[in-house]
Amino acid sequence: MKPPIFFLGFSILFWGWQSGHWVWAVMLVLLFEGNRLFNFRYKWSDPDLRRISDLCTLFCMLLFIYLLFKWQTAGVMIMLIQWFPVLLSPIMAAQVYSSDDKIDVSSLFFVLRRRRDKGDRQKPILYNLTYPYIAVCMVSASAANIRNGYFYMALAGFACWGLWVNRSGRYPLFGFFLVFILAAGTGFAGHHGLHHLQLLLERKGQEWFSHIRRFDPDPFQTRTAIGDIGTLLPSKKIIFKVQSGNRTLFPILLREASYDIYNHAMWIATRPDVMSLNPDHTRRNWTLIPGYGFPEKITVFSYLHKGEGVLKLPQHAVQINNLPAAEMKLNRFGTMKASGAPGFGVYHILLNRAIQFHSAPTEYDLHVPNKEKRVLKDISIKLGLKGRSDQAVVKVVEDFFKKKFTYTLTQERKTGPGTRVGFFLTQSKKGHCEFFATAAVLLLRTAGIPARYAKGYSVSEYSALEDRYIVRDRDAHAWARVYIDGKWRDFDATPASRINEVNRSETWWNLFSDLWYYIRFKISEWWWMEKKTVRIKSVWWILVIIFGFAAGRFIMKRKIRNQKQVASTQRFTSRRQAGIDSEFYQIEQALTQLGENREGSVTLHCWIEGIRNKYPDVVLFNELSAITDIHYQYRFDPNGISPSRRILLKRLVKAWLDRFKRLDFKPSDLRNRRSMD
Amino acid sequence: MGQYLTVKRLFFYFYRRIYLIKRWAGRRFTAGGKFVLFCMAGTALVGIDTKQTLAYQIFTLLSAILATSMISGFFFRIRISAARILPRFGTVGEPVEYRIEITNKSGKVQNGLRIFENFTDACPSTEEYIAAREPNEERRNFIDRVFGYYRFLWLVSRKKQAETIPGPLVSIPAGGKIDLTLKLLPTRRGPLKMTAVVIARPDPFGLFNACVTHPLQDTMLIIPRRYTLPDLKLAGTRKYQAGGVALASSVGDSEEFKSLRDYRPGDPLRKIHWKSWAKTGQPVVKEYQDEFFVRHALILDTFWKTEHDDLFEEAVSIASSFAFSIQSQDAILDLMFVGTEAYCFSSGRGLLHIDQILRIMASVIPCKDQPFSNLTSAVLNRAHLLSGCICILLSWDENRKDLIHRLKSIGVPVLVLVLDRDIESPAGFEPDGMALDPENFHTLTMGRIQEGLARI
Repeated sequence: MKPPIFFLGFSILFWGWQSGHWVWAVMLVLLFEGNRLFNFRYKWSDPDLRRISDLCTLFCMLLFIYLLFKWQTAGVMIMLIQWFPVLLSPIMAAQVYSSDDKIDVSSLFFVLRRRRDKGDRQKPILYNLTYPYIAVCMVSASAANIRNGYFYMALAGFACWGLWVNRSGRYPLFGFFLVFILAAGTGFAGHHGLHHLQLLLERKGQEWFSHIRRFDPDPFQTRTAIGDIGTLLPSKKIIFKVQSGNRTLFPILLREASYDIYNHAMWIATRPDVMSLNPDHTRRNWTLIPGYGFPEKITVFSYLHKGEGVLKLPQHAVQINNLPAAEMKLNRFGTMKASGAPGFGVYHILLNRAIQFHSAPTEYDLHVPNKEKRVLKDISIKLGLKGRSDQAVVKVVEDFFKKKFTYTLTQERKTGPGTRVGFFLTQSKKGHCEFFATAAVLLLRTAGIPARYAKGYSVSEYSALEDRYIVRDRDAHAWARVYIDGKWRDFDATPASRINEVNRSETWWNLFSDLWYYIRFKISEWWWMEKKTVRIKSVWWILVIIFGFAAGRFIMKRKIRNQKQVASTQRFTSRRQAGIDSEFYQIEQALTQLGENREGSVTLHCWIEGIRNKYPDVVLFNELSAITDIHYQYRFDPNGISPSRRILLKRLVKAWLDRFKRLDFKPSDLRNRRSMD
Repeated sequence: MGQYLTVKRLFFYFYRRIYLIKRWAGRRFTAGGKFVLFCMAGTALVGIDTKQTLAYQIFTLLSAILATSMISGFFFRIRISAARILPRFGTVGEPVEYRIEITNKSGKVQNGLRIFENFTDACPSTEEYIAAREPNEERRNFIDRVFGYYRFLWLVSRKKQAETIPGPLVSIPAGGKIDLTLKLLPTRRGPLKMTAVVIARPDPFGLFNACVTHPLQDTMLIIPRRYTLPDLKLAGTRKYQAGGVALASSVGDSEEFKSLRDYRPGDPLRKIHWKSWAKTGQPVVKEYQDEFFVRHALILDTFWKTEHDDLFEEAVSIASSFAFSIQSQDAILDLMFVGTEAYCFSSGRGLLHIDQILRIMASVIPCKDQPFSNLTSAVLNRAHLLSGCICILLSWDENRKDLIHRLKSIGVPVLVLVLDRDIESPAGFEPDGMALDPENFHTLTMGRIQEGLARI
């Protein structure tokens, strides 16, 4: 297969456009398409092709090593793929300037070479490498990952061009394009579906694994999505609900855990100093900060997977009430974890805005990773953080993020050297809450202010129906905690556009998912809130209903099946009856009267054949075969017989009987003939 | 042992599935379709993470195109009748041309069709796979020996009867008939059974063939490959052939009427010439001349453990070459070998024709259940009739040496050809027993058979 003229050149230009390697693309086009200007061709021998192949392998290895040392990330393979058209250009040049149309591929691959050298395969594998090279160009272009829709359009155009040239001549132009548009449309829908399916599976997988391992975050470390490419698609699954008489408290940040060391997209809580809390005599109330009043209260309705869970706490929580747990642990960051509790908890958090859980800052609260230091220091100088008061620094940092950065759930590939956080701060200036929280913590630390990374939920969605605040998976949030004037304060550097951005991904079918999550949460709540006896009763009732439904279905099904059987039997009987009135039986009767009785096991054809053999001179018997065929069809064909053939059968039988009667055959005649024979 | 056999059966099950899929794909996908499949596999690998590259878009586009092509295959309807006009014989390794008439019974012109032939299934049975051992299998690595995939491939290649050589694209008018000349390449001797004609129609993109199979049974006999032999000067003299008149009715020193002579007591009555007696009044008898002519034995060693072995096939090819060559000389050739019993087929001088000998050659199979002595005794029983012997032997062991020794001892000139499999390090058999006659002892190495025969 040879591609059409300039197909190769356009493919290379397409790669150049997508990858940005325009200069290389133009050079390759000139090299390959320029062969039309020269008559020079070379007959490559096996050693020549081996050397060319080795050269390409060497190029690939050298570039791989270079990229690996330069970027030190797992993404170097993708970068390498982008360079394949250049790396494999010697092989393509050999093809283009070869005197033969095809090249022996077994010279290019080590495994095939070895097999040939061992004598396993003697025949050369001849192939024109132009189409494979074009395919390489397409894959390399795809590795550039430019998601603007033009890629697919251009790809479909190239596919159409290539298929058009090699199409079968039996189809008209219109038919070809119609089918291609159908295929391209299906492919378009397919790749959207595939991409979303992967995102969905990733999310579900994470959810599932979080269920397997633990329902709540790890109080000791958390992995952020910093460094992931693509779009985060948080679901609308309801995680918990909050109720409070004082709506001025909202929106509120409910913290699950805090961490102090950042390293490679991970936040770690060092030396957590976990201690157990003692409940009061009811074993339901747990005091976090003793000796203070609590004028305000919020109630949390939340799952506690297998009776364990990290509590969602506001920064001024003083006491937890109504949570019957076997054990309650508290670490030095203020993270509380209950165990031995019911599967669903409705607990009250008592607040006092004048007080908060104290945790003295350590040297880790000022730790900045070496890799991030240079960028952070530059920004710190640029913002003039040095010499300002702590409050002023916080204000400047907040303005810096809220004015110059945008919130997005989609992350593009990092270009250039440096870390992901550095890229966020200096180049992309777009990111999700984990970027903002991490960058804010590190920037504040660079300015000399102790800061921590906090993870939890932002509570803002009020449901008037239930008079509760609903907290969904998409409300998961990260923010900084900053130590000013001897107190830890929540500092959320994420722009306010976050809520709009999160809501933007909603579609019409979210209505159904909302309903599903609502019902699921309600059932869980009811299940755990009801008394055990009621639950058992309910289960019995549900089983009775299901059993009744199944029994009803079974009885109905049997009834329908019986009806079907009856109908089938009737049909069968009617079919049997339908053939019984065949006129052929008159012929059989006439012949029987002449003494030619048919045994029950003898088929009509055999019987007639026997009569014909006995009386070969009676021409009339020869016609019986054709009549028998129509009779058989009428008698046994499940599809029945057409009206015209039915009439034909009647006519043939009648005509035969008339002629038979005219012959005036008598049994004695036949007997005489037999005796003569 | 039982577990080992179960594992082998399991492997065979998978290999058979792979073979069937490959056969199906080989016929259904055009070269373009196979390329698209290859690209799909590549892009699936590169685009496994849809966030990292756009290769998944290439994958989905190609999948959609191929799926459309495959779906379009469901709409192919054609009614045909076909008849083949086959030659009587084909030869292994030589393309055979034959004609086929195809009638389009549907009311639509059919363009761009391809015609394929279905042969009997080349896939071995489970028992064959379990019992088989690939030649030189011990040289394969441990994994290959355990999994036995190469053994399966070898068996398939041995059992494959022929390859279809792709013909041109065909157009058949509505209700019309075409007469095509197709080619196939026989790869194995024996009866080549053709079971059906397959009409393949490409889809609009030219990637996938929709096929309609028309059952049509025909058989052609494939005779062994033959080598060119030099002008043979076989040693030996003419021998008396008792009762050989019927064998040589018209050529050479046949047992023909010589003269009339007077009756002597003891002459058989059937030799009395009644007309002369009537004329002369004295009993006169006819006198005949005894038969003396050259009779060679072509002894084919069939004592071999494995079927479909290249070495055995080469032995049959060499025997066929000799049979074909000696037919052109005025001699009788006794083809002797042991199958289910010891066989001897005489040809030449009015006996079996070369066609019949080649038919026999096409059907020879290795003898695995009888001792070599059966052949020795069969040959020695006829040794007194033989002018010379051509022995094609598969090895050079004591049994075979004994046969040659005994033939030599009763004065039968012998030409010994021993086959050697090893190309890299030929065994270089010592001509024990043939030491005094080394020019009639030849070792033929696989892959260099023609070269070896040229030296005879």
